[in-house]
Amino acid sequence: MGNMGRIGFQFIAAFLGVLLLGSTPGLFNGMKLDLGGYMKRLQRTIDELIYFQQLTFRSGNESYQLFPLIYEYLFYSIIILFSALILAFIVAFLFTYVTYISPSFIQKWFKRVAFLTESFPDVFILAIVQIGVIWVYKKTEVLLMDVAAYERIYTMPILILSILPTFLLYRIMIHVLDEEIEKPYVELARTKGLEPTKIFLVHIFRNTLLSTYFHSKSIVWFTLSNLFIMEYVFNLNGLIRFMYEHPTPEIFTVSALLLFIPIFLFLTVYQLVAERTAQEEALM
Amino acid sequence: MKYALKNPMFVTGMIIIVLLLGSSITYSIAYDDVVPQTSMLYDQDGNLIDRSPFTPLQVAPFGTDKYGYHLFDQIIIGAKYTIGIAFLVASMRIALSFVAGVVGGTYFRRTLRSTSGFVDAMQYIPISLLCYFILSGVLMENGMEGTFQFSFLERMVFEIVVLTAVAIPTTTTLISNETHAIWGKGFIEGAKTLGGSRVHILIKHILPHLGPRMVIIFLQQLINVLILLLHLGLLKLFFGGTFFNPDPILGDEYRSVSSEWSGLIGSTFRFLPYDTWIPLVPILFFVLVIFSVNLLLEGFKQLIEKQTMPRSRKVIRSDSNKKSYDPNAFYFLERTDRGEERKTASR
Repeated sequence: MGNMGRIGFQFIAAFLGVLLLGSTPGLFNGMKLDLGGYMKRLQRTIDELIYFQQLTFRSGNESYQLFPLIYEYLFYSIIILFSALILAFIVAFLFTYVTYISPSFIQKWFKRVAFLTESFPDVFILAIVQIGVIWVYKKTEVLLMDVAAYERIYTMPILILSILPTFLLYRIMIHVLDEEIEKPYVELARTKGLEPTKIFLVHIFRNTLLSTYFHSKSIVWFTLSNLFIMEYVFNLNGLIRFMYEHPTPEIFTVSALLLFIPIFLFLTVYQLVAERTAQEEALM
Repeated sequence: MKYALKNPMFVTGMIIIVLLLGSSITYSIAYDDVVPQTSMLYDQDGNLIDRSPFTPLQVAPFGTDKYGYHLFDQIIIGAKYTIGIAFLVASMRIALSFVAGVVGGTYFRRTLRSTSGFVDAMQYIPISLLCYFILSGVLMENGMEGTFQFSFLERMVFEIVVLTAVAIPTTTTLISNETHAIWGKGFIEGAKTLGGSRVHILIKHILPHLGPRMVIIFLQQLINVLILLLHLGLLKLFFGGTFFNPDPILGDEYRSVSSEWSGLIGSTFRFLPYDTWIPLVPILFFVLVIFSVNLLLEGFKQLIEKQTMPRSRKVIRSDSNKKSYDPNAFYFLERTDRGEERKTASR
């Protein structure tokens, strides 16, 4: 029960935090700090949130109901975000495994490449993808990705978004692997004649799960930033681009809250799973 | 610091950044930031071959933009702004959150723990979007009137303040956690028992341990600011302000007030499909700078590991490094009283 209480408290605190952040554009009147304006803005946002069903947004000269239309944007962004993260985790794990079983000079090169890619900003990746798509189109007339299309596409965005988190997760996993391999229990398992693959899958995997959790918040946040830039560059109809195109404080706050809830749940579930598996490891 | 110069990664990163900054400053002193322009190319007979933009093959080394301005010179001029701003913002972030974090981690541990929940909220909003919302009102030129509401200096200060402020909550929490972790260590307990006051322990024990961590956090923040600048540039929010020129026929035009890199990218990103090199060159330079900061970071981490870890676990046993000596080369002194005295003093 203590667990539930702690999570509930975290949820409420972060919820209020998002609410407070959502009104920050009201904090500045031109360039002056305007606390009174901020409080007014905050109060109005809360009032509007209570009757959130009546919120509207403008598109062209028309005014539309925000709910339930916003859910479509939300689901699109969330599906891309989570699929990319899960894909990144799987791919990074596979790469870690390949690194683990390959000889040490290959390991060295893997690490070097991973280090190099860490310096690639998302904009660079997006530019490369765009150039690549055009190149492929010129060569084969196959359009991998229709940037101008209005319908929502999934495969390419998920693949592109997962590139950077994959490298990030890979670096973390390799770091954990290097630490774990030195530990006495791995040595013990080895001397008992366990196969290296089994040691990797059963023991090292669990510890990887736990230590990626410590980084999970920053990884999700980083991916969220990437998602925003990707939605912007490729004209994807996601929630974050929606926020960008409708820069009113109430839409910003509502969208931020809508994004926050599923991400918080996702991270909490991950935390619980990681803690449980780590406990099992401790018991064994 | 002496050891830092021996680490190849650290040195390489340093050299790249110093070269970029140095050439940028030299350029503005020597050429007064005038960008050479080639808008038309003629062959030997004086016939017009081509008009700008030129590819890197036509005009070395990086080609020109739409108006024929050489990209290489623009990059060099912009370097001092981009690197300078990133440096300034990152140092301000670190300086402010260092003070707040150390004080918080030492004296107000409990208060900080209860506010960390609010700080968590930062993790659920893309930071570039938040910055965009706060900054767009001030930095965008009013398209109708063609004027800025604020002066160049005001806009610059405002942007630096905002870029600094958005990261303060997270970095403060980070540093206060680090500080708290050091307070919990065994040797602090020892210092307390020996009667060291809080301030004494803070200065003599906590701060020296915090130092290397601060360098790491600083370098990470440097990368963070660079990426943030890149994002804002892409969103057409350029450092020091954006000229906005609505043009319904050829598409709206945005231009950077300073020739800062993110501005070069943001204003030309839509040319990527056909004039690939124009946005790609500044992006590649961003990659280069982030890469060299990463080199600094990695090199520094290696240095710390070398210092804290025992040098090497293996004990080299071989007779080859035992130096042979000739006993006849020495003679022994008679023991005197002075020698005795020194012995007791050292004891």
